[in-house]
Amino acid sequence: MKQISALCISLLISSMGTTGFGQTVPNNGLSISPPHIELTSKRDYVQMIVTSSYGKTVHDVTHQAKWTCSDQKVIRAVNGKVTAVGNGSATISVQAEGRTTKATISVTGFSKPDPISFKFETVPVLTKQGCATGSCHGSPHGRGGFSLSLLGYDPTIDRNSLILDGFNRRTNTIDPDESLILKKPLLALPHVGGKRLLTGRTPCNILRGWIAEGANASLPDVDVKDIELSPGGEHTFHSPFVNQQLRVVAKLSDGTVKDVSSIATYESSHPNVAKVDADGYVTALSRGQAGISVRFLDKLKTVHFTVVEEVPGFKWVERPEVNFIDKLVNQKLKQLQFVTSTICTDSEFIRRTTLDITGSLPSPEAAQAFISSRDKYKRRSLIEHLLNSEAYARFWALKLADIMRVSQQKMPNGGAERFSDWLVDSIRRNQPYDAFVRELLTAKGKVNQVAPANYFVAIPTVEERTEITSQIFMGTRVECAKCHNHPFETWTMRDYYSIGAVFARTNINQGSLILTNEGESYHPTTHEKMSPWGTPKSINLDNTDRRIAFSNWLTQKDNPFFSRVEVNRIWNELFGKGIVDPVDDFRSSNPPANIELLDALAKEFVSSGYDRKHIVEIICNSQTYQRSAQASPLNTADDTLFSHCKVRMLSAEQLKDAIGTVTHQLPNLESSMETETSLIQKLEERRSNFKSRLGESQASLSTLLTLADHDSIQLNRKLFEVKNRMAFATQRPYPERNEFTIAFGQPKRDTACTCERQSAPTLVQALELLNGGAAYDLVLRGSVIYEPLDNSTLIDMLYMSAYSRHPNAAEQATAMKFLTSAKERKSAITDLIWTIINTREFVFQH
Amino acid sequence: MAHSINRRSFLGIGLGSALSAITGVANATTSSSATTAKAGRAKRVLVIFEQGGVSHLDTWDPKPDAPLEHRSPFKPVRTKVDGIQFTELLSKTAKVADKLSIVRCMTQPTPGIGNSHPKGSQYIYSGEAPGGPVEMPDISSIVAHRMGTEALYLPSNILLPGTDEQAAMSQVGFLPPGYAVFKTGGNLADPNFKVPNLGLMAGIDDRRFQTRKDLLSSLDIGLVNLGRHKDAEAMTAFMHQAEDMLTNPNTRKAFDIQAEPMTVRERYGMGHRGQCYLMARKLIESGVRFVTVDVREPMNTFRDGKPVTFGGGGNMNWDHHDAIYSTSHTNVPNGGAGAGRFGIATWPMMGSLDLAFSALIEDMSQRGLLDDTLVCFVTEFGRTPKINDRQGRDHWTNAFSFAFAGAGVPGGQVVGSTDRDGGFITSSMAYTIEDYGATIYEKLGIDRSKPIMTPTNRPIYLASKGRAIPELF
Repeated sequence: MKQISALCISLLISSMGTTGFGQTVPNNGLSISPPHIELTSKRDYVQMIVTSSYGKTVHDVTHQAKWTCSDQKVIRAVNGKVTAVGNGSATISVQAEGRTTKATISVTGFSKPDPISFKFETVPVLTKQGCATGSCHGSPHGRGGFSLSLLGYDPTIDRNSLILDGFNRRTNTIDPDESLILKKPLLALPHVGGKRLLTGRTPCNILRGWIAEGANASLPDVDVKDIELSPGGEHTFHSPFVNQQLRVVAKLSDGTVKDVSSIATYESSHPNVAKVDADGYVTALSRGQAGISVRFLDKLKTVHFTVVEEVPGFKWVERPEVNFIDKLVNQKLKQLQFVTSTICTDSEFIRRTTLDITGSLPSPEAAQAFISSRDKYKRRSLIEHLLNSEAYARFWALKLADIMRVSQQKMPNGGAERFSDWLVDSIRRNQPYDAFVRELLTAKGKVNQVAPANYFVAIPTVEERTEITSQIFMGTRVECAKCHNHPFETWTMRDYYSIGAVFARTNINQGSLILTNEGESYHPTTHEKMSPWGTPKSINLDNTDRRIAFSNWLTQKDNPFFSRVEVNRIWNELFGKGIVDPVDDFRSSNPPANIELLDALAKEFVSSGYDRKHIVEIICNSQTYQRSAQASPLNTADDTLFSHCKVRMLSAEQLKDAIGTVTHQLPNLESSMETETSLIQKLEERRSNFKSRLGESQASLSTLLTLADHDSIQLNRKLFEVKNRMAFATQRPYPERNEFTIAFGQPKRDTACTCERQSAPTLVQALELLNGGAAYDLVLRGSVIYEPLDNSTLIDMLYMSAYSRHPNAAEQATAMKFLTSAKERKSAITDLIWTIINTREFVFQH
Repeated sequence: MAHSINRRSFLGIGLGSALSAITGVANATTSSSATTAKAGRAKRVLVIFEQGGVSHLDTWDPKPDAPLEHRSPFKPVRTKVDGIQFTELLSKTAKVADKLSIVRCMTQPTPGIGNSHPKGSQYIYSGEAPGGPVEMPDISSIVAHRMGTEALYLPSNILLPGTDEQAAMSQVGFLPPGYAVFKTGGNLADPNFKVPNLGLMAGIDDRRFQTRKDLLSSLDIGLVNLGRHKDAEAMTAFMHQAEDMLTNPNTRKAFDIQAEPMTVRERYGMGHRGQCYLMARKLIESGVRFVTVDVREPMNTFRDGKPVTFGGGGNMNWDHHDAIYSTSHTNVPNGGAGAGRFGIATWPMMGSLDLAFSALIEDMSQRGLLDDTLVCFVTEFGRTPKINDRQGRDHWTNAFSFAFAGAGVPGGQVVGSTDRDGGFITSSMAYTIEDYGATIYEKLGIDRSKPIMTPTNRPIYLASKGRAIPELF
């Protein structure tokens, strides 16, 4: 196939506009893509696609159409795959749905030799047939003594394995059919991996043909530059039209353009929604969204399908939309026919929002005031109030500290404190996120003076810096590419070691983060010296901090990862699930649940000047965020599109503090500033006391005396505790781990993965709640606080503290009966508090 | 189908398979599709891990012809099986040799990996050399994940006694935290020993707990439709399971060592080791899937219920770098690495071990537990054939011995051999710790050709570099 046809395709794509199809689509009619092709060798082929359109709706008819060739000595067409039969020209006419269209085809070079390329045919076929996957011969030790490079990332390994190893039994050029790589997958011999080849099909023909031609495994210095998918982008299936044929074209670095539809590898992200066969024919199966990933060698692209089905009884209910978030979420829900849940109650709202923004439960007083307020804008005001609190800065610093692995072991000698203070301060003053990241990634100097330099102290090796930086800011798990190309993404070993080169000259020496003049990153198999990621070629690498160029690349407005990853992280914190999920696994084969939403949020983030607080604020103000957890039969099946609030466990720190709040064992955060002021005042009084006794001339002595004074020491200690909120777990960037918090999933901070924080329930948690000492100790102490209250007030206070609501009549009656009929009131109160903290309404956020 | 664990279905169900219906991952078995695995002979596994590197020369693999200056002072003794000899430190175990297969050709193929105690122990726990691209979970966690449990009211994977020492050696790795080993902690020789958290806390009796449960079930109503949410559903099921564990008399019975007849307890030995071995038998008998014993006698402990102190024995594992044949502690001048132990022949060492191990095999055999329980006696490595100048023996990874019994392991068998000094393997076969791992999986009928997927979708094969030891099948 000559380049002209591909050029033609790409021109068409750019002129396509709204439909996104790689072909011309008249308003009414049948179109064929590409309309003209030149086959230039015996084995050349093109997968054609035929589309039928009625007004704005289009659907694929490639397989349903009737294909007629004007000259059967020139070409043959089956399901749109056009192959050469002999030199010449021909017309192909296609009929479907009572319409007709035509394409012209010329075949040249039919009689010249057309040897099978090891690199561009044999190796892709081994991947396509599943031989080179991580669970078969692509695993590090191979299988059954036969090993291939994972998904063909290193053809040299494959060549050695196929030709040199195995006593020539794997590829037998004298008697090709005796080759093990044919006999085993054809099941002529027992094969643990089962049947992998079908006689007569393209993959089998390629393998056999390659061996018969002498198993030539020369490796030309040509690479795949890009692959092109037709149709690309996004598509919707509306029943009864449930199919789409795909075409894959590879562009090689020597200018060759080649249809590889028959040897590319296809995979569906949600095979229950849409499946794809070995020839790239997609079939929709059920309502939902699926990405079809297409791999050819180290290139991978994904086309996204939305499958719409009529849901019986579905009727879209218009509800008010506050901002673009609601508009985009509703658009998707409406398309896929899920209704939205109603808006949550005020009690649910204050509990949910306070937990999300500050980590703590609202105090019973705050909850009572909120639910009885008649202010029309009280939700908006509450969000604003919470976002301006110190608690917000501290709780969100804890989240950053998790993935930046803050601990006293990893950041010794006060580093953890300094770094944490810096994180809290950055959030408190709402530092633009791009500035924050640049300051972090380009930090240098003494680690006890330059707080962000401690980021590098916690991750001392180049590998860790590469992997953790990519995971946090690019949402990408590049660690796979350390030893082999990433199996689900286009990250290659070259990319990995290029990012490594950014950090190869950052060293820690005698308590200082310094840049050295040497240090390189080498590709482990090619030994090539890698140039640092993000640095333009024109820059002399010797006199520059490579991290600056990298940070500039990372934080520029059009970086594909930076803003999307951060808004997605914020979304995940507020919904318990990312738009891309997991949040640190961005790849085209793990598509966002709502790509328009993610893009719009990212755009908003950029245009707001990377304002993190603004993003939290607009999300919390959206109706989407404020939906109830109550699902209806018309949206209960949805767990990705945000039709209703996801019920999730409180985090370890939240739960610990929540029990503290219910048992009234925690200082009131609202008044902590007052406490702080009064402590400072008392200290000052103490000092002036000494001063007045000693006289002005002995000022330094009075300061010294204050330092040694018992009361002042106590006051200072108290001040430290109040200032650093030592009584709380959610208010400190590195709370200590104990049996309780470990059971509830507090991470060890060994990795930068948010998955280290375990959020799913376990039996150990149930045992901790029902029978654990830590929680019960608080319950016992709390019962002393509740004891003086009369029963009715007590029950109301308990419900307001735990759930931010009053008990209903049934609850009130049950609790009242329990308290009044108890022999011993104090232990009955203990039992009641114990019961409340064991309810799901308490343990879960909703 | 591969056993995939993704974050969304990442429920920790290590302590039971009650929720398999909900999650669909806990108890999946591997019967479908073409597979080479046979039905396992073992239903449960008991691993006795004697940590520190037991000298094979002084125990399972006597070397009477070694040069005198390096020879063990303990004579070979005949066992119940003609032609098999142990040293006299195993003279009680010698009487149950007909139940045992002794593998004398164990080796670490790359000694750099497992030649330290932390790494060596992790090697034993996971059956896989530490330091690979993915840190492997313990064999026991994988077994719990793959097979669930038969006794819902007990954890499926228990370590006796379990201390902070194993924090890094024993790992749950990429599996959900619920599959982590359950440690009883404590000193089982203590007459007041109780497993924390497995009984109701002090002051809360069954009646009070029942009152609370009743109140909870009438008040846990605030969120309707919660049942549709997976996490809430799972938590409810765990709550019920936990309530059962806390109040089920069988739970307490399984751990109630004091309830055993005194003759039985004494037969195992009234120290910490003996009681741990006995507890292991009790738990296996109660249906626990995987029990590991990793015990050493504490310096301040109890014997026959009375306090006793082994002066100088601050760390009584098998790491006998110094004064291995001391009749008390091993703290010698210019010593160090081997300080804090007791000589190999003393009560806290082989004295208690020989008694406990022989009792265990005899007892399990009498109770029919050896029919379907695989018992493994393991250690990280052996000790040098040469005695060093501090009269100790150092680490030796070239050759060492394991012992196996039950679940179809042939009795009265010695597998492999070493040279005159016990330094190198002379038999045609040699087996590794990976082979030991593979043996456990295959005895249990776990199909090793089916990978477990990590949360990042990397397929993990079990004991991928090992092969089951054929002589044990």
